[in-house]
Amino acid sequence: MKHVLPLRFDEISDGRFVVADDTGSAFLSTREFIERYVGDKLDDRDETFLDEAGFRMNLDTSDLAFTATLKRMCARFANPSALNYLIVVPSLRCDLKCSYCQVSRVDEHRMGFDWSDDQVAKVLSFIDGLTTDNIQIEFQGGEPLLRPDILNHVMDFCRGRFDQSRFVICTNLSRLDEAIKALIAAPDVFISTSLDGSKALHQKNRTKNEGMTEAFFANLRAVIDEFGIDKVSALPTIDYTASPSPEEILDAYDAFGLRSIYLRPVNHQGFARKAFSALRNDAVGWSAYYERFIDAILKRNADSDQLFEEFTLTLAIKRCLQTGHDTHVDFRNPSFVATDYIVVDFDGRLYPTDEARMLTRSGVVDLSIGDVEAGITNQETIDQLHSVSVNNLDPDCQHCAFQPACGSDPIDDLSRYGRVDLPRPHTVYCRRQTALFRLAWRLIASNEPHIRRSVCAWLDIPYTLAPLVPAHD
Amino acid sequence: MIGVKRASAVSVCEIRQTLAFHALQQPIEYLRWHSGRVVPVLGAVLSIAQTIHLLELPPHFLFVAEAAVIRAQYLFPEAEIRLTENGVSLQAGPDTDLNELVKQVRYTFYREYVAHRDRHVRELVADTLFR
Repeated sequence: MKHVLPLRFDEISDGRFVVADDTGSAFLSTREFIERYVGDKLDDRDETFLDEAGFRMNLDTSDLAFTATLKRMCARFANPSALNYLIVVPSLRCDLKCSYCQVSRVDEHRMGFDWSDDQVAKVLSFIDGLTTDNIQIEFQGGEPLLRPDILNHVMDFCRGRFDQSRFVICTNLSRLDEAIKALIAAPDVFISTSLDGSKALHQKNRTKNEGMTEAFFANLRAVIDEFGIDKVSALPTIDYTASPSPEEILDAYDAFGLRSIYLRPVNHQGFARKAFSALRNDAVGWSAYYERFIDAILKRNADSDQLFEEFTLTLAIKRCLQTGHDTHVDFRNPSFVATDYIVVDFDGRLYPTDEARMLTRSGVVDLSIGDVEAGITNQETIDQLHSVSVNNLDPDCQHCAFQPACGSDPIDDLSRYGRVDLPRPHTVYCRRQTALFRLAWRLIASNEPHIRRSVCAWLDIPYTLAPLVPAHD
Repeated sequence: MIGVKRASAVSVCEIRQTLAFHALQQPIEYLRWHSGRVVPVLGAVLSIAQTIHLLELPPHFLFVAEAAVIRAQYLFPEAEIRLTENGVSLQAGPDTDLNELVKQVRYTFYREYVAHRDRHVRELVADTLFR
């Protein structure tokens, strides 16, 4: 006897529904179908569609459709590798005072906030103990380029210790001397920086004076000109209450040839907890701004050969339609911590995520899980975080059509609410994700040529107006 | 440090099966409006009752009704959804889109019902994957 797989549904626009099974396979449908499905009144036409689309089958492994469902289910679970990604903070000092700073920086002239020689030796010993043969290290801060000597030391060690190494320096690019250029010239070194938009906006948020602003724009230009566009990624941090013009931000990125933008709202972390406290529980404002920004991208892409993408939206669309995109921690499930990546702070303490480090530094809750000398010693914290890191088990996510493509973010819940057990739809994370996935599905469902052109490019598939998912009314 | 999983929210919910039974049998005719004024909004509240009725629910419906109401209560706390002796009531603030609220509550019933109706499928998938 054939059974219909349990289906979840969401109204992505008036009367238009996305209907998905537990594996994330989905089709577009109508309210009338939902009524028939819930009312146990599916007709022959419905059953034929569900048979052919792989949503109705014998629940037996002799039915190939059921075996395929099991395979898709397994493919939806992120399978973390061995620990091979370290976020390290060689210095907490920084030469900027950004208005939304979400880490806990200290003034660049303070003493005692860099790794000491002894600390460096312990970090290298910790790295040496990893079992992986490839490693990626992300240098965070503070401003890591205040200590290029430490970065050099770590890089040299890793290159000798591992088969493959990759390094990302998260820097404000306020300085770019010959020593730093030599550091980033290596093919395994990449730069991640912040570009908030126009010079005026960037100065208002970050650099504060014209000299620093001009230095940053000149340094970014120099890095791109000398080492190529692939050396650099940049992202803007958005105070959406100030409603910065999307066109202005796109112009700024366009000027440098940067086409991938990762829109990041001001986070409820670090100094931003006080400076932007009004945004603690707001998701509506961000999602409205975000949609406005995506509209601007779509309009610009319609008349251009060089297409822009917003990184998060591209990832969401991919995860709606495909499996295997599990590298982003906010978009993977289970989202286990301290498995494939870990954070090493300036004092050698270990944290499960960078946001966990920030929360601890802010005095909200101690989420440290050990140190480089003793290794991971606080398994209890990890276990507690793991208990809410599988969204299949959440009583709200179980009913959500977007669950297979979504993730979980207990650290953000802790930061905003001081607890991890709120009903999901009451959290900023859930409300933003839900709005994002509804937008993603509206774009997937659209057959307007200018929208489809962007969606196909983001999916890295040839342009087509053919439906990307089945539809049934 | 990390809170207890929502047990307290469920335990404070005073819903009895007898009241749920009344909710099934007696379609609601009145909605207690936000001001406390009782006004007839037959269609709005009936649509909840009709949802229950139209589903032709199997005997375990009372459990589903309770679960759906509990879920609706915490998903839409501003609506103050209740099972009462007279049936299901909800209160809406002056800025609430009543049609949208009723629609979302109806979907909450749907989701709860489907999850319960098809639980055996999920159990079979899990058994097959993890046995």
